Amino acid sequence: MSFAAPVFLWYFMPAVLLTYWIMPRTWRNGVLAVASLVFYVWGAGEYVFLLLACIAVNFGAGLALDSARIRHRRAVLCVAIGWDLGALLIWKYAGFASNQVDSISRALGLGGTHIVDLALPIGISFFTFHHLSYVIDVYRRDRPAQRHLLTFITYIGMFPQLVAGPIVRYHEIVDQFDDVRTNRLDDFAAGFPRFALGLAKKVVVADTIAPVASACFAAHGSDLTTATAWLGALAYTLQIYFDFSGYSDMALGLARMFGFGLPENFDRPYSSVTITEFWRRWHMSLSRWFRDYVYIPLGGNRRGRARTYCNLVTIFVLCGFWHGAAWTFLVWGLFHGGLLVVERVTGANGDPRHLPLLILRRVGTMVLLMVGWVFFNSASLSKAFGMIGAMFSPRGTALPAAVHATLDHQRTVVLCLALTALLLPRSVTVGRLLDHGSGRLASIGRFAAVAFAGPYAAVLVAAGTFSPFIYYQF
Amino acid sequence: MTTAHRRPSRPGRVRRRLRRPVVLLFAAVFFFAPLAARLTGQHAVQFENHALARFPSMTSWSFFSKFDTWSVDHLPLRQYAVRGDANLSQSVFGEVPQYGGNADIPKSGIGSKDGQRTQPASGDAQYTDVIEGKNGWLFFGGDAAGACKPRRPISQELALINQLGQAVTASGRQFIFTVAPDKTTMYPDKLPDSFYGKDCMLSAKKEFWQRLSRNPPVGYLDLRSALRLQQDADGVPIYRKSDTHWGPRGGVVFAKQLANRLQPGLWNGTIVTRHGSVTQRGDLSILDGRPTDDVMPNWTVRRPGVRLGYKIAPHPLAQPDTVVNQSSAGGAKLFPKKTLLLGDSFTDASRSDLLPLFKQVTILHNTSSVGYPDKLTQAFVDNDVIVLEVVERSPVGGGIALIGPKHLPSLIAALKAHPLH
Repeated sequence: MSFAAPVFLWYFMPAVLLTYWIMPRTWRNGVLAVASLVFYVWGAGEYVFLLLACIAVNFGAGLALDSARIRHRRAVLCVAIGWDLGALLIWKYAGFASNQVDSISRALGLGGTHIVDLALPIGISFFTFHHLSYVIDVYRRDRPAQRHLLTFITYIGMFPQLVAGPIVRYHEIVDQFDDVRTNRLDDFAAGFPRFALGLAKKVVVADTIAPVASACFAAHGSDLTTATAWLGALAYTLQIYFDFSGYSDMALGLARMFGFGLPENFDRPYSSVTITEFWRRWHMSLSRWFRDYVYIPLGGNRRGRARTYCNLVTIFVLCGFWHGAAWTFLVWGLFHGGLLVVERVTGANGDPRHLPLLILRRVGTMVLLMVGWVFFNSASLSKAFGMIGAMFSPRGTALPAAVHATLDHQRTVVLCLALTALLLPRSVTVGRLLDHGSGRLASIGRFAAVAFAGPYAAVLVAAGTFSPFIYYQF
Repeated sequence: MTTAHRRPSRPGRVRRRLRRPVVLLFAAVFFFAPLAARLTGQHAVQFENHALARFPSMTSWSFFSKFDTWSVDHLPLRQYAVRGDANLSQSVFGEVPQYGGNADIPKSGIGSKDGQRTQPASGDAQYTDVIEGKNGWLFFGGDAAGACKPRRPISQELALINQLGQAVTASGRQFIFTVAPDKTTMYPDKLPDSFYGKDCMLSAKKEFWQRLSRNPPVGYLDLRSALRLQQDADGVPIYRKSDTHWGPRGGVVFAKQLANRLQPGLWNGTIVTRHGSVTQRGDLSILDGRPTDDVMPNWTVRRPGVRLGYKIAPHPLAQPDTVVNQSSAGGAKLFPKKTLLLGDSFTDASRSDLLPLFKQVTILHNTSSVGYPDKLTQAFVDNDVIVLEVVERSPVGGGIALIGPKHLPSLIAALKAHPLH
């Protein structure tokens, strides 16, 4: 169930909101837990049993880790991590691995091998990381284990962040579960502007731009001109930001409506002047997770330069694979890891002081990011390299008819507005302005979000379901 | 250890007091408007040319996906959202939105469904459902999409129609094949100067009409010339502005041409009168999201002395429907042979003019009837004359199902096995 689907907006949410308001405040976690399981079943069907099994294992592991009677805490931790990573590896990566084995076997003339074909449970990457965060935090004694199963289910399965993040580390949210003194209408009013903003970013901007990116990435042969390649890279760069940050805004807004504060996930990432800075602004919850649970345990930057560089590349290889089981994601991760190492080696990971250099670095960083996104969105490495080749070699400025056809007035305007929004000063963060801002600008922003952006997005969601037949279907 | 994330501090009491009711009002309207509409008696309506989905069975996991369909169909106020969006887009951007073409990034929001890559669109999204022509004329986008990406070459399509025709005539029956021209063929001057697929569409249409005129299938009846002549004589367009079909006058032309082919003199005594005008909702305007009505001169056919065997002319549907008419002595003649009228929405639009020509006629849809192959075959066998009407985009796009490999051989075999004596 997508947040931008009619069934979520006008069936699920009204039912959950009414239930939440009718029930006593102390039942908040239970209401959310049940609603979240319903949400997951809706999108994933019988895979809810996988989620419940993971919940049971990790809940039990947490209790065991907290128990004074358990001597081998490390073993319990290993079992829990093994279970979580095992589930992720099997469901997400077994198909990819078996395909590689098959390819190698055929290349060696040994014939084909069995290819695993498992459907990917929705949100498995996210809830696996939540589980890992929990057991590690409990093992480290950062927080005691959660004694109430419903509360634990609320943490793992909270529907605002279940399928698309942000990744909420256990210690970031645990203290909020017991705080049920909130004014529910206050929460609702506080969260809705952010949700409306996120919906508009996704539906009005990202979905509008998507066909342009798709048409450009589908171009091949003589149709893949330099102009097509750059337009596609730019369109996808904008699309992925507005889509992903829009989802995060919706998640933060939804959680806020139910009295929870989730961590910010984006902070004007395209205003970065280095790749290092980009990763402090893009999908911040993922960066923090990798930092706390992988990078620092590997030694971080405290074991010499070589080890630091190795750790950085390792993190980004894992990060790439976390996004998807394909070589293009691996290359994307390696690309970013390599750039981070280069910035460290050259000392180019700091903020330039002079304006011309600042502009140059910002443009340069943007170009590097766009190249990375080409890998991210391409169906194969050969297509990615083809597109990048077209970007950096003179292959004409004409746009093929198929791409031209997508550039109607509305898409062109939205594309330009989205690009303009990215050029705003980095201090302008609309999401935080809506949530925490005071003063006239914040009020105007909130009003614009709830009175214009949200309703227009709602109209587009409803209208987007329009699928008429030319003739009546008898 | 990172500090646990806290809820944001609350704003000042005065500002909160002012802000809260406004935001709450908008939020409440946002989430609860459809529910409120439903409770006040507003129901979802059929406006997409299909029946509303039924509530799904709760006994399988597919309940959830089917509920999504049901929930969309039964969402109150949705038709206003469609119309509002179309009008807003037209007034702000000068164009109507392309429905159904938006890509929904899968749920992870990061370009892949938690690792499953979505393939870029092949280019199909560029063909719009409706082509907006000059002076408010609307055309069906499928004319371009089908022509540019045909399932079978035009030459093969016409050869298969000829094969069917020859099988019918070899069995002793009469075969008549006619083509209702697309609006894009009748009014090329009203097409926009450019749109995606225009060149390949025009090229395919040119090839089609050239092949039809040089080497027509057996039994071919040309309607295009007669429609143009009538239009020139009347001085008004014969097709509807916001619909794919011809208006009442087109139905009369079709009926007259068919009558003259079936039997010389059959049309004699038929009285064609114009009285007033008729208002009809344009099907293209429905696709467009901005339903509008066309007003056209109303022409009707009356055949004195003919007693019709129906109160309401039956539609061409998936299963055959047979009507029997009677004529009194001295009245207009009825075509005496049992006739199968296989047509589509153009036959449907003309049925009030066509059906009174026959003593016994079976009307059947030329596409949906393949869902009942046995009844389709039997209809061929039971009748002495087979009239096949197709709209131009069908053969141009290579999409006539009944001449495909699944159905044509069995039709030919049945005709061979049941010749007319």
